[in-house]
Amino acid sequence: MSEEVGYTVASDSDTAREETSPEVAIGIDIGTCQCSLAVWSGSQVELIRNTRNQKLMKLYVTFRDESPSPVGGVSNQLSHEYEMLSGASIFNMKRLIGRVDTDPIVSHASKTLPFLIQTLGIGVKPFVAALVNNMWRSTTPEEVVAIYLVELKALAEARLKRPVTDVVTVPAAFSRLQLTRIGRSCAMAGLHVLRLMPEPAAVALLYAQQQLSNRNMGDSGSEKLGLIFNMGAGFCDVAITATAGGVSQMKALAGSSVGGEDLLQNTMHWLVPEMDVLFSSRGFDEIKSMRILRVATQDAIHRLSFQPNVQIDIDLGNGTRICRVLDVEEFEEINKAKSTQASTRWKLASGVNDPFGSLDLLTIQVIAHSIGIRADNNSFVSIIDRSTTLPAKREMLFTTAHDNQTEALIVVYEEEEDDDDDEKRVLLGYFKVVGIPPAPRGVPEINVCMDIDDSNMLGVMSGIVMPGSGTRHPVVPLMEVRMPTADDGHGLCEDALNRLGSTLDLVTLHNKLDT
Amino acid sequence: MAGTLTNSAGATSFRFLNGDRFSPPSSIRSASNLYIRGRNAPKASLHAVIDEPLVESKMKSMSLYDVLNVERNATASEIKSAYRSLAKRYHPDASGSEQNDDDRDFIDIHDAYVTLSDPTARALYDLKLSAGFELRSGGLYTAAGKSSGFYAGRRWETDQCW
Repeated sequence: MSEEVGYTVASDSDTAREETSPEVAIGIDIGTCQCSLAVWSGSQVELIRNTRNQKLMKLYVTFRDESPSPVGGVSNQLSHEYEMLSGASIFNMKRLIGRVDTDPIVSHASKTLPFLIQTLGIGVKPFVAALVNNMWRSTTPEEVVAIYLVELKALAEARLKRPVTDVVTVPAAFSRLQLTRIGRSCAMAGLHVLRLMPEPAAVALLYAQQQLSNRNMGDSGSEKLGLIFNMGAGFCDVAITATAGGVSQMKALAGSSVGGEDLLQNTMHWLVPEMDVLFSSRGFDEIKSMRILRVATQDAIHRLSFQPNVQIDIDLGNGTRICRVLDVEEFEEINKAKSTQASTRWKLASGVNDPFGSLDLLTIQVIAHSIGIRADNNSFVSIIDRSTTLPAKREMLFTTAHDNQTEALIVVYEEEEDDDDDEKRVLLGYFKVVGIPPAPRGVPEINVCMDIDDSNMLGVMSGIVMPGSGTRHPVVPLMEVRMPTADDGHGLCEDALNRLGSTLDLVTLHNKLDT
Repeated sequence: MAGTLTNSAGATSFRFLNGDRFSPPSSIRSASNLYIRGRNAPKASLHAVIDEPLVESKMKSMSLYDVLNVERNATASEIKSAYRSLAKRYHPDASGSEQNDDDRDFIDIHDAYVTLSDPTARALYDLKLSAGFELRSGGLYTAAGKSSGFYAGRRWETDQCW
């Protein structure tokens, strides 16, 4: 459940913002393993470099015993990749944020990452910990991202010498729960977030800008259709846009949680099929073997992108020695089930930009997941369909499932389409409408309205109307709930809701109202 | 640039001052009749909101062609470019969209475009229009005024997280 406490986040940076007016908006691309930072210079997008002159910064946070606060990849310099895999550094948090421990992505990660991700498989947030001085120190994915964002913010302000506001890009596959989580990380880091924007929308904006600036070189107003494909370490997004005159209308948007990390995990399993058992105790030796395996696999995949096969020869200790040749065909075979293409590139497309320049640009976005409620005998009834243009407002009529039913439960879900076409529902929240006048089933009209506003906030409103009573006025006050309200334990919560039985069920009344 | 920032900054920057007050600058964008419809609004005003649709707003009595500012016989490309230029002005992300004081809403503009850009839907709509049917139907809430969200007056800094 969302706590209604904690409106204390407004920090001193807020007051500072009011006094020094010229603030600047920056774009932050939080990747799974890398991150980049961009600013609109007035004529083009510029990536901000860190102190080591890197545009792409490794995203990890190292917990240390002696230092008061953990350090992240923005300011910290690694002597070697191994250092990141010692158990003290936490990374890949973007894949874990907002997920519960029944999620296969969490359980796969828990078996292949060198730090601790403890799962009980009961539908709650996993326990994450870093190894510091022979002790597991607990943290959360939100905290890790926030620590990193603090460093990024400091870097941006040092470079630009101005207070910054932020646009953060997120994968299209992110559920509303995950968005809330990223939002929480940003708030913890004291960022002033203008918008959480799907990564393809940022790319579309960049394309619209380029099209505008190339206008004098060719045709002016003609519409260009574009397919945006963005694959990173943790996610893969696809969008179709129609762009003309600086306005980009998104036609469709989809994302999946498939990325380079899956290729890596699959390949590690291919090399050491018994690794789940081998590494389950997570002692010092296991962590060491794990990181040797990870680095060797990573390296092998890199080399496969430019050579037909690669020799892998590693000693994992404990008498386990792996000596195999992996060729491209085999690699593709290993990853066939998961990946769409044998894309062996690791680099995230750093298509970040600042959309709030003086340019007259606009990306009209669409929603990536359907949102609906549970009705008609425990099925999902979509109210706002995927690829609906934002902002959006849709309503639908429902009615009671039983005679003299006086209460109904509205359970709101977001539905993602999986690679294998099985749909995955994420519970966003629920509320009960009460005070339905006793009537035969099918008579009361329960109107459910969903509204996604310009800052992507979802509100669900419900009201009851009794037909034939001569008035269209609701019989009880309307109810409005901002979603998501379900939180860390949404898996657990869903189970509990399912045990409530069918007395509070709803049935679809007619098709969607014309809007 | 500051002007364009107000747009979205306004959406997230309500600050919690002392107890229950909101900083006035942030409410610029939500200075519509919706502002009073916050969660603590008395019951009476909720009913008033439901009564309101009987007094049809200017927008509701317009045809979809009027919404897009095009002629009845406009071509598909005219419709498309009209939509784009209106989007630039009325989309909540568009720079300067907060300066619009008329009753237009991007959702209406988009819905009009969806109907008129689909030849079948447009033909059907033309038929209805010539038969003099009710121009636009509204449900319980779509008719309840400008659709920029029923909690439009409430937007706190911390909304994004807690």
